[in-house]
Formats: sequence, structure tokens, C-alpha cells
Amino acid sequence: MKRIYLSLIGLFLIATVVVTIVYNHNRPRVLVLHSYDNSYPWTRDVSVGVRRVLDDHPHLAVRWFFMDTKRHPAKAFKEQSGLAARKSIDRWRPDVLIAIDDDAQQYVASHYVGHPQLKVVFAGVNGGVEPYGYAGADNVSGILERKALRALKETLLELGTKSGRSGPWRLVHIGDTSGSVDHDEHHMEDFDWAPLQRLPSQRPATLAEWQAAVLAAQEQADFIVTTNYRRIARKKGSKELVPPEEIVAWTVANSRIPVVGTNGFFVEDGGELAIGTSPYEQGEVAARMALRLLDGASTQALPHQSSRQFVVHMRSARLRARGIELPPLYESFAQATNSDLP
Amino acid sequence: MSIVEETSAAGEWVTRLLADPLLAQAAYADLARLVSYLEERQLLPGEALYQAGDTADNLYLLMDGDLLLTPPGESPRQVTHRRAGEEAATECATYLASVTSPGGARLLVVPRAPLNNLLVARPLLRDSLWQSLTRTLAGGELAGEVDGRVASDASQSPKASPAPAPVAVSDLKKVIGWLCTLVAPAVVLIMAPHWQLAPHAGHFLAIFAATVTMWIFNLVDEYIPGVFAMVATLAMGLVPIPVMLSGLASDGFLLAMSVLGLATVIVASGLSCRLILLILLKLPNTPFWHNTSLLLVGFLLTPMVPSINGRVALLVPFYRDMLEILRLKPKSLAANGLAITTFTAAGLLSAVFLSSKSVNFVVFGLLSDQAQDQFQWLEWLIAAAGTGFALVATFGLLAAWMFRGLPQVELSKPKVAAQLSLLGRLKTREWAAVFGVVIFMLGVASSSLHAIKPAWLGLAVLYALLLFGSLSKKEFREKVDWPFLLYLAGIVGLTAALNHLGLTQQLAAQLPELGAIMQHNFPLFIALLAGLIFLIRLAVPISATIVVLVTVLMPIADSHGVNPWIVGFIVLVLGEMWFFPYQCSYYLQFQKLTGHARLYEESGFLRFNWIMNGLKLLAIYVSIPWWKALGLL
Repeated sequence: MKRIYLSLIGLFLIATVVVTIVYNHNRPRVLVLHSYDNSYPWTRDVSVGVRRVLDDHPHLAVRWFFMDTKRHPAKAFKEQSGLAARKSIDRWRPDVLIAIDDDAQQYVASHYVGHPQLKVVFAGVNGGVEPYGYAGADNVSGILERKALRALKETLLELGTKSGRSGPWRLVHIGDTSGSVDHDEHHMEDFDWAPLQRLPSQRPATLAEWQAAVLAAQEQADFIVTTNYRRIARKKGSKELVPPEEIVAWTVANSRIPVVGTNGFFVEDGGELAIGTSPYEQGEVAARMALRLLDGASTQALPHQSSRQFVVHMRSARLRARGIELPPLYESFAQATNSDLP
Repeated sequence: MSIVEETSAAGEWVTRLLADPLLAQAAYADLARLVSYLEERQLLPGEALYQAGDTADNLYLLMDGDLLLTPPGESPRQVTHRRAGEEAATECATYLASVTSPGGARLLVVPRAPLNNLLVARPLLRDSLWQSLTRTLAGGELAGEVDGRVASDASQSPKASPAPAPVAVSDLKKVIGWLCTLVAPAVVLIMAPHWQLAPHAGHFLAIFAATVTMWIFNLVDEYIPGVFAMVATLAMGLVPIPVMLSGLASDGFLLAMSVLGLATVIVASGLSCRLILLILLKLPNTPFWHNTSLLLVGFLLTPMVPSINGRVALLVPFYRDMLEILRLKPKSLAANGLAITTFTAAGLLSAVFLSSKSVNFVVFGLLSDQAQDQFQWLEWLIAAAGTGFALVATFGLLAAWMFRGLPQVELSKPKVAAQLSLLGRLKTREWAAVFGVVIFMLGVASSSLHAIKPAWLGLAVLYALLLFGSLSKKEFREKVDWPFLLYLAGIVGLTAALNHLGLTQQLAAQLPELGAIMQHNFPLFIALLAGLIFLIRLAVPISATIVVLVTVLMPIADSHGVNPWIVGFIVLVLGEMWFFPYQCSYYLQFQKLTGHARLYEESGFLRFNWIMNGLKLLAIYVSIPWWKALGLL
């Protein structure tokens, strides 16, 4: 009797183990690979978008990998982090890789172009996909990140009109020397800004150069547009990066003309107004594409997309205090999305 | 004695043990451990075995001949159950009657210390031996009752004897510790606004300061400060409940719980004992192999028994056994060599396997999710292998140099074989332990195929052990180190709360030089860390040193782009450094189990240990190319 009893327990145990293994083995796997770390607001908000979609599909096995290259921009670190991510992919063998922002494409996802089992969905790509070999690749699709330049232009025109100054109004773009800002600058060069005038971009590498660019803009331009400033060195030759909050605080305090960011995090860092690409859209679209691919859709059926949505982040009280006015629609939009900060 | 004679003698001892109606009730694994300590004694006709009032050092089992027992003031009578000296199994420090042999006798001697080790887990057996003693003495007054010796003897036993000087020092330390526990959080609360901390962050930091101070001064059991931190933080609502209690749901917690459960079955089933005996039996019979076999046994136990103290307790009987069987003179070069080998075997690779030391799980728990995926059991071993090889190689070279030219002596294989025969065939529980280990190892190695994390595999193995009754509810409750698991959960929760409040980033920002050194001159960082650990370890216990340092340094490493596992691993290796006996709890245990260093030359032992500390540091430096090759550095 004891033997029968033990056999039944053993059978039950084996059945449990087999079912668990089979279920896990057949569970579709998605690896979400971020170029940066989760404390970076852009990355955090893209993750929110991804989760909005994937959380409704608990049968998926989802893992996350953060390359953390924003805080550590050295090439050696990026290569090391890319290697670790590739090892993780090779070990876990996901069905779909959602790769977000350019470093994830360059150091990881591009190694899997043409991979027979792995499908790649990219997001947050500022430039073209050609450098990564994605053009024509049969296992890659995704969403390009394009700055919301049309919305930005409308906002600047509103600010110009409300300021009472006569046009034509001039804008200057100030951004760091990172690759993603290179791409942003190209798009800004290609964009039709009329009736605004765009002055040549300023790309400082150090804090002193940044400060000089901001001060020079006071005399030459009516608006400063800033894309990113996370790769500004404390001094020339130094590897120490200046905290973004410090740069933004100095900029806002020393600029008489409005400074507008092209990413929502500009306001989180202490800025007063940003018309940014929607990180939520990037995450949501990429996650939906991943689901389609897992359902058997081919990448040909999922053409590359570009960002369409934008978000407004602002500190309306501070803007008013500085005498900068915008139509109430902006404030309502920001408040509705919890993006109107004190 | 020839090998044939030894075989026969050891077999006879086993038979005699099993013939005793009381001792035969003990588990075979426990009896096998006891065999290591047994010896024979011959009494001539008319010779006294002991007198009433002599120190009760041994229990005696009569093999041949006869014994007469004479309680004080009574006439002699035959001993019952062919057993004498049951006082050694009780709290009596001295014998209560005299025993002589009118016609001569051959006796099996069971020393008090190992007998009590056996009885600790079997209180009923101890009671039976008490009753047997009482029955033997029945009909006459007990010696202790006549002159009150029992009470006074009991009070003179080492357990009950007071030790005023150390207690005074300890009390002073505790007073200072509690003062610091009061002052440290108060200072933090006062300074928090100056450090630009939000009120909730300041309060949490104050709780953290009190917790760390309690750990540093060793004021209470190590898990209690963690519980305090959890309770205080949650009661004030400083961080969300899921953050503070995240340790309870972490992979590290589940993995630790599973491994501790599996380890309980491995030890309690006697599998570990069997493995040790098998290795001793199979390896060649030379001094080199005697040392190597002890080393191998220790290394084999390292991933399976997640406590250095546990491994020391398992290995010391075999060390003592070897000394006795090899007839090695105490404090001789060979005895010193074996002592060092035994101690090293228990602890040398404790950082190399994830499951070999409880505090390793703390480091694992502090890693991010993706890093935990990167350093599962097997990956941890691979990453640590460079250091492991360097440690073993340097130990081997040092030992070969210091203990060259040992005389040729042989281990009594028949005695080992007799111990093994006592264990008989593999028992069901041992099979369960074997299956548990094999399934866990295979599961870990093939995790990329089935996508089940080792923590869940461990939990499945634990579940199976519970389901089949291989691990009883009582053992699960009593043998699994629940206080440690609470401690682990508390530390993981504390670190999660530090991260949640942004305090680790602030701390990293306050230590830019340290981060920069870590990032740009890692060898210098290792040297500084070694110096820091050396200083801290002068006053702080091993676990507290490791926990405090990894809690601070791993987030700094992360924010400066240095692999936090490497920093945690280095702290684990260097945190084990000790120079003076008081710094190392498992050395104190080793001392105690080996008769307070009566068996080996302690100065030589300590000298060897000092050199090994330097070699540990060297092993870390030697591992740097390995970590670079793996892409970790």
C-alpha cells in the first residue's frame, strides 16, 4: 500500500514538473532591451508604454535588460554592456527582442539581423535604420522616434505671438555631442521652420561651452530649443558628467528667453516647457508589434512606423510668473497627463 | 595491529554499539560519526576502571570480561546491560559509583563530548541513559545525595561556570553599542535637513543607521535589526509595503530557503557522512592524499552545506579520527598540516559557490533582476572560477612548502570501511537527497531550455522533499535557518527602500572619488577595499562587515558602470580575512571542537592563515584577466 501511495505522489510530482516545463517551454518570450537605465525618465516612460500592452498578456514571459549607456557613455562600457545583453539573449533565447534607443540597436539587435528564430522590434531610433542593417531585413520592424517638430513650431509661434515682439522669431538649438542629438539635428535641419528662423545649432561638450552658448543665445535668438544635455563634461578632458538637473537649473536661471525642450524629461530636470515625442507611444507601438509577430504575422506585414504623438510637459505656474503665456489648451493637456509640475 | 585485525576490531565495535539496547536507537549516521571517536581499553584482573568522584569523561561498553559496580557505602554488584559510566551522558560531572573488574575486561570507550553531540538531537535517549543509571544505582543512596557532590559538580561544569571577565567586556561593548544605536539615528535626524534629505528619506536613513549600528556591535541576533527596520519603516509608511517587503518575494530568498531545506536533508539523512567516508576509503593511503581527501571532502560539502560552521562541525570528527588512526603526535607538523587542511577545506571556497554561505544570497539579492539572471548558480560559479582556482593553487603551493617531508603514515581503511558498513545501503532519504541535488543541478544547467529560474527549481525540489516526507515538518520548522531568511529578507528590503528613496544615488554622488577609483583604477580600489575591510574586521563580525559594505558599495559600483557582482564577490572573499581568533566565529568553533587547539600548534596555524589572507588578495588580482575575458570588467 505504501508503495502505491508513494507511486501516486511521485506520479503527481512528475506530472506537475512536466506540465510546468512544457508550459514554460512553450511560453512566448519577449526581451525588452533598453539602451539606458530605468531612472532615465524617457526609458521609464517607454517602459510604461510597453507594460500597458504586455501586462494584458500574462501568458508571455517578459524579461528586461537595461544597458545603462546614458550614465556610462564610454565606448568600452557600451561594448561590454552589449556583450552582456547578447549573452543574456543567447542564454534565454527570446522569440521577440524589443530594442529601444540607438545603443540597443548598434551593440545588440544588429547582431541578430536575419536570425531564423528571433524577431526584432526597434523603438526610439532617432536616425535611419540603415546603419543597423535593418533595411530589407526579414526579421525586423519597429517605430522610429522623430521629434514632434510641427507641434514644437506651433508652440514657438504661439509663444512669439503672446510675447508681443515682432517677428521673424529666431530659434537656436543647443544640444550635447551624443549620437542621438546628431540625428535630432539632422531632422531639425530638414524641417521647414518658416516663418521661424533657425540659427546654426550649438553643440557644447563642456559645461563652460554650454553656458557660453546659452548666454550668446540671449542676444541672437528669441527661443532656445534643447534636445539633450546628458553628455556635458564638467571640464575639458574630464570624464565626469554634469548632472542634468544642474545644467537645466543654470540654464533656466540665466536665460531671459524661453527655453523649450524636445523631451518631457526636460521639465522633470527643472525646465519649464517641453513639447516632446511621446515615450508611451514608442513603448505601446513596439509592444503591439511584438504581439503581432508572436501571433505569426510577418515583418513585411508590419512596416516601419514613425512617432505621431507628442506630449506637453510644463510648469505652468513658473511660466506665468516669468510672464510667458500659452493658450489654456496646453495647460489642460499637461494637467490631464499629470505633466504639469509645480 | 595488522589491517585484518583492525577490520575485525572496527567491525566488533560496530556490533557492540548496535548490541546496546539504548545506543542502537540512535540514527546510523550519528553512530557512524561516533565510531571516529571510539577506542578500546583493557583492564587487568582487579584493576579499577574509575572511582566515585572521578571526572565522568567516558561511557564504557563491556566487550569481554566482567565489571563490578560499587556505590558508596554499598556492596559490589554486577553492572547491568554490560554498560558503565552512564554519568558521561548526563549532567553529572563525576562518576557516582566505583567500578572495578575482578577478572579483567575489554571495554569500548565512548568519550563524553561526541556522545553528547549525539544526544543533543535525541533527548529521549539521554533520558533513557539517566534512567539506566538510576536503576543501576537503585537500592542505595547516590554519591551526590550523600555528600551533595552532584549539585556542586553540576555547578562546576564548564557550561554553568561563570566567566566574569569576558562578560564584563561584553557588557561594556553592549552598553557602548546601545548608546551608539540611540545616538546614530538622532544625529542623522538632526543632519538630514543639512544633507538636503526629504523628511521621509531622513527618517528612513535614521532607521538604517540604527539597524547598521545594531549589526556592527552585534547587540542582538543578526536577524533582529532587519525586523526592526521593516517594522519601523512600515509603521511610519516611509516606503510602500511591496518595496520594504520585496525581500520576502525575491529570488534570493526563495533560493536560500530551498537550498537550506535541501541541505537539511543532505546532512540529516547521513548522505554527507557517507560521501566523506567514501572519499576517505577510495583515495590512496599517503600523507598527501590524506590531506587531499580532507580537502576534497570539504570542497564537496561546500556547495551543499550553506554554512561554514556546519562544514567545520562535519569535518572536525574526521580530522580527529585521522589524527588518532594515523597515530600522529599532537602539535606535530603532520597534525598541524591536517588541521590547516580541515579548516581550509571548510571555508576556502565559500564565496565561489552561490549556495555555500548564507551571506552569498545577500549579495545575490542585491543584484538587479537582469544581473540575477546573469549570475545564477552556474554562472556565479563560472564567474568565480578564476578566484577559486587561484585560491586552491596558492593554498596547495603554500601547504606543499610549509609541510614538506611529512613522515609516511597510513589511515586505517578498515575503520573507515566499518563506519561505512554501519551506514548500510543508501536509505530512502539519502536517495531523496541525491535526487534533489541532481535535479537541481541539471535544472540549473538546462535553464535556458525550460526557462525556469533556479529559485523556482529549488522551490520545486523543496516541495518534492516535503511531499515525500523526506523533509519532515519538524525538520522544516527547526533545521531550516528561518532567522537567517528573515535577515536576508530584511537586507534586501532595506536596499530596495534605499533605492526607492534615491538614497543610494545620493550616497554615490557623495562618494565621487570612490566611484571614480572604482571606475578608472580597479586594482587600486581592491587595495583600498582590502585595507578598509581589514580595519572594519578588527571590530565588526564577518556577516555585518559584508552586509554593510555590499549595501553601500554595490549601488555605487552600479552607478559608476562597474559590475556590482564583482564588487560584492570581492567583499565576500576579503570579508573572510581574519588575523586574530576572536575575529572568526568558525575558527573559535574549530578551536573548541579540536580541544582548544591542543591538537595542533596554534601559532603555526595562525601564521599560515595570515599568509593565506595575503594570498586571497592575490587571488582577486589574478582573477581580473578572467573577469575581463568574460566581459564582466
